[in-house]
Amino acid sequence: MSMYTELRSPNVHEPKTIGEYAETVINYNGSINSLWAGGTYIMSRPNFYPSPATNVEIINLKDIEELYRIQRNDRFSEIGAMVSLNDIALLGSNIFPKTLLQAIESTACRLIRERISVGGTLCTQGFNSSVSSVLILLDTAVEIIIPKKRNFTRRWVHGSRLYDKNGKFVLNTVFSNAMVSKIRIVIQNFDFEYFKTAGEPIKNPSEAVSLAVVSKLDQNGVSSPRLIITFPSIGFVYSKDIDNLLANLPLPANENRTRDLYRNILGYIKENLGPISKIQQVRLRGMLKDMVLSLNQHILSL
Amino acid sequence: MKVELVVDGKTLSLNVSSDKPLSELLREDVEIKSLESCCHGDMCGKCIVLLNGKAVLSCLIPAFNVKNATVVTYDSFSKTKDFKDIENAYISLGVEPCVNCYASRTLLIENILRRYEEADLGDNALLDENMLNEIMRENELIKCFCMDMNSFIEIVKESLNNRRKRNVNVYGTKIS
Repeated sequence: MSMYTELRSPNVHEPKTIGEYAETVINYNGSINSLWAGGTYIMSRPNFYPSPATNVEIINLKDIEELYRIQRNDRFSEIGAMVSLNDIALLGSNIFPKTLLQAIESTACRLIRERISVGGTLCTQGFNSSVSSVLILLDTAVEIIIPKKRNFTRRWVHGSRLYDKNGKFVLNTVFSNAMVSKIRIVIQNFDFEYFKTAGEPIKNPSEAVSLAVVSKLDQNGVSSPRLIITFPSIGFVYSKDIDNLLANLPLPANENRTRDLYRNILGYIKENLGPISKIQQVRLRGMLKDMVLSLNQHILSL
Repeated sequence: MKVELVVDGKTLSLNVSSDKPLSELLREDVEIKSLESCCHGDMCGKCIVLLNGKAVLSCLIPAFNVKNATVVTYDSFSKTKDFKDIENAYISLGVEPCVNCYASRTLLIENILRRYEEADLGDNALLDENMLNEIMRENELIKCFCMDMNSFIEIVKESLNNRRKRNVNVYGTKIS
């Protein structure tokens, strides 16, 4: 048994700098390069070990010191891709929007959060976490490293560029072998923030759903709202059309208007993402109702 | 892949597949008996060990990430004074985990104690609401229904008291 185990043991590369990472990626271009940040999602997949793939090259990012740096000023925070979600939560109870902190807390308990990196959260193929959707909602910029022949380039892009319009992770199809090295979260305040999640996103993604909303409020109602819905196994729903639905919602809204909002959003989801499970529909309806109630309360207290 | 690590105080050099989960490595290659791990990464919570002093689910840690690490399993932890703090709490409250999750739950409690010891809450500080929520969520990680939430929290509080009493000398100053 041990002989066979040894035969298919994947190679592990442990670059110390971004330059070494770029070199490794270029050298092993033909193999399945598996970037290893925290590894929590990869390890929790069924049948991860023993792996059926034979030519896997694991690139472990844990020794790249640059990926752990955190810089803060009055306008934004720059966070390295290997910083854990728990460290972000501890760092940001006063500076980050409540929505982000709630999304982080909802991901998993502290023991697991300590091992989930923010870069890994953003770049997991086939899985959309509510943290990544909230980061998009907050206009987070992402620095990506693009390896070139003997060098690499850095480029800042909007977080949503990592995904297509339905939340499918597409970074590596746009930029070959690219890696997220840090994120920049702008420090901003909102009058209204809402985050709710239901189900277990990691263990049962086809039943989980989360909703995040941020907006400014004035006496006329909601101004410049942004809304994102996450279905972990399908993708995100975020669009100017949906934001406009919320902006045009007369507040305080009654049940009929809430139902119309739900129907319109569900129609958009079916058109763009395809069908979602019955339990996700029920959960989403409940969340939207709760969000509108909360909005009503905020408006009436202005 | 050659992996050198310290398990329960013993320095080991193992030849294992690089992506082998730590839980499998400990069960198959080191023959740790206290590990209940049958979920293969499904987060059943019954494979907790202390990795470099912090509790982790060993099924989520690959072998290549434990190079030169120190692993403490329940087998050796149950022989320490720290364990006595928790065991005394079980005895004084008359509640203890079942045989399936005893090892993991005990190491989880130890991790919580270490965290709040580090936080230096002061001798009379009570666990606030956020801390209690955090502890409750961590307890939910272990998929075993032998212990209710209140009992778990009481055990954590009692263990924390035991630890503080042990760490304070007869003059009332903290032993560093």
